[in-house]
Formats: sequence, C-alpha cells, structure tokens
Amino acid sequence: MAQITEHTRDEVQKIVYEFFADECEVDISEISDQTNIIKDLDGDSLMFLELIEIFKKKYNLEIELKTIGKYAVKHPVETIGQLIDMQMLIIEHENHIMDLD
Amino acid sequence: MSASSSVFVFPAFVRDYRDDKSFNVKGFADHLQLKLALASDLVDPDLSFFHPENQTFLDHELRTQYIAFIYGCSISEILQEQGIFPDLLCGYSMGIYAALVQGEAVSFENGLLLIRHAFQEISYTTMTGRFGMAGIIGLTEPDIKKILKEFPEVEISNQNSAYSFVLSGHQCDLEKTLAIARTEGAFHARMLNVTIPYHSHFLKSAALQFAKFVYSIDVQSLKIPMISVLTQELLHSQEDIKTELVENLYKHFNWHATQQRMLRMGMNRFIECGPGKSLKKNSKFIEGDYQFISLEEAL
Repeated sequence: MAQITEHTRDEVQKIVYEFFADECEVDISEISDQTNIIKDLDGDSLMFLELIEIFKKKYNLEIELKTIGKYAVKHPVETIGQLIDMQMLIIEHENHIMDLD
Repeated sequence: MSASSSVFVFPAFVRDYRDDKSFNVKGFADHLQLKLALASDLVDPDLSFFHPENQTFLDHELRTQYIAFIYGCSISEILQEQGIFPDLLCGYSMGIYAALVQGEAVSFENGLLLIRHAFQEISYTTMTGRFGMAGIIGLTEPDIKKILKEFPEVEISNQNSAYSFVLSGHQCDLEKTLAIARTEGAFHARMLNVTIPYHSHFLKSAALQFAKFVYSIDVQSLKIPMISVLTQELLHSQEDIKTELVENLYKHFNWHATQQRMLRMGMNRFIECGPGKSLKKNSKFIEGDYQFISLEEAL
C-alpha cells in the first residue's frame, strides 16, 4: 500500500492537471478543481482508464479496475477535484476502497 | 525494412470529425474532393454534399463507411506523395477495403462497390431483427464471458486492448449485458451507433451472398504486405484476399493481438489513415516502443 504524505495530493493534482491539458489539448491554466471533465474538457472513459494505469505504475498499486469501476458507479466523478479525491482514496486504500462504504 | 517501419492503419467508420486536422495538410482537400466526386458518380450522389464541419452523415452507416474509405485512400496517397511509404497495411474491421486499395489488390472503384454490396447483403440479412454492437471498457475477457453465459447469442466481436471489448448481437440482449457489466464494475458500457452486428455469426449468410460479388471482381496480389485482423497472418495470394473479404464480415477479429503481432514484426510507426484518433487513443493501452500518429503528425 502506498505511503501517503503531505505532498501526495499536490503530486496527484499535478499529474492530473498535466494529463488533461495534454490529452484535451487545452492550456493547463484553464484547468481547475471545478473543471467538469466531460462538459468542459470533452473527456472520456478511456482517459480515466489511462490515468488509473499511470497511478497504478507510479505508486505500485494492487487494485483491480473493476473494483474502481464499482466504486465509481456509487460515487460518480464529474470534476477534476472529485477525480483527484478519488485517486487519493485509490492510492490510500487500493482494493479495500469498497470497504469505505 | 527501413529503420522506421511504418504501418498504414485504416479505420472502419467515422464517429466525428472534431479531431480531424487533415485539411491543414496541403493537397488533402483536392484529393478528397476528387475521390468524393468519383464516389458520388459511382455509388451515391449525396456524397458530393459531404463536409466535415457539418458533421455530415454521422448517422448514416453506409455513408460513414464510404467517407472513412475515401479519407483513408486520400491520406495514404498524400503520405506517399510526401515520401512516406508503408512497410505494412492493416484494415481495422471494414477498413479492409481502403487497405486493399492502397495495396493495389483492388481498384478504388471496386473498393466502393465492395462496401456497397457488403452493406446491401448485410441489410437484407438483418432486416428482420433489431441488432447492434456495444463497447465495454474496464472488465477482463473472463469477466465478460461470465456475463455472456446468460446471453449465448451475444458474441465478443473484437478485443481492442486488455480491458476494452466490442460485442455484437440482438439489441435487447446487448442492453441487458451492458446493465450487468456496469454493476460488475465496467467504466464504460454503451451501445455503439450501429444497427448491424458486424463480425458475428448473424452475418454468415450475408457473407456467403457477398462472396458471389467478391469472386466476380478483379482482385490482384498485394504490392504492399497486409496483415489480417482475423488471424494475425500476412495475406499473400488473391485467394487469401478473397477469403479475408468474405470472412471479415462474420468472423471475430482481435485488434489487440494484431497490433502486438505487428510490433513483434518490428513495426514501430503506425499512421492512422482516417479523420479520427480512436485507434491512436486505444494504442495507449498496448505496450511497446512505437508511435501512433495522424497524417498531420506524420508530415
């Protein structure tokens, strides 16, 4: 399980912002925690999947995609800020994320 | 083979033109207009009204195939005019027709007629039911096969990557399958905007009728190697090509395995010869040391 430090959220936020700026071809200054991923950035589920793969590798996470999918059905994500919060929970709890409910 | 071994990949359909930057490339518009004029004379006069800014024909299954075909042929020609030649050709699903034209196995005109005949035969076969295709992202193949035990008429018609699958079948069965897939943790489980169950057993009788047309036209040996998305083998003879054309309608294909096979063959540059980026986006989930680019990025 990954060690969460005070810098982890900043690190996750930086990765998420840079990822969407690159994927959606927008300036990073246009992205905030309130940005709607679908309406404002035209994001899609493949991007979400790609981002999870990035975090799995970076933090050496042991988590099944379908576990995240089940959690996401119960806790839908619309904004960049919500996505960062979910990534933090995934990093912290991995496959035990469903136990939070 | 050159240091950079290139594959020209031809997509099947057009979903939207928002990612299309082909018109930024000098000469592309002229190539496209010339081919649209030929196609409107031969198969469908309405094709002359096409313009990407209007998102034309996106709800017309046959015309979107024509447009993908015409884009593919135009992009391939521009690339070759600029000195970029393919070491290998690959048609994703119904992208087979543009790939065969670029390999000089069939003429541009016969490519259009192949699309029309295949679509006509398929339409006759499927007119008595409501069919479709669906995409599931986020589950594994065993997860999906477990769901499909309840729906034996639904088939996995293509695997795009380890976690991305396309299904074909009756619309009602697909909708029930998708509902279960969502509860099982699929990130994405949606119907595709097609009413034909491509690459499934439902099209076998259509394929046998289509074979009569395939065997009536002039098919030459390929001048550029082409890989089968059905078997991941190289196509060699005229008979190989004709068989592939017929079986491509009703047999499953595997894009994931095909791209992996091309990587093992030493291919390291994939150029998507179409208006979208769907194959480029999918390639992010297939590991390897390669680039997957568009026409504009290639030049």
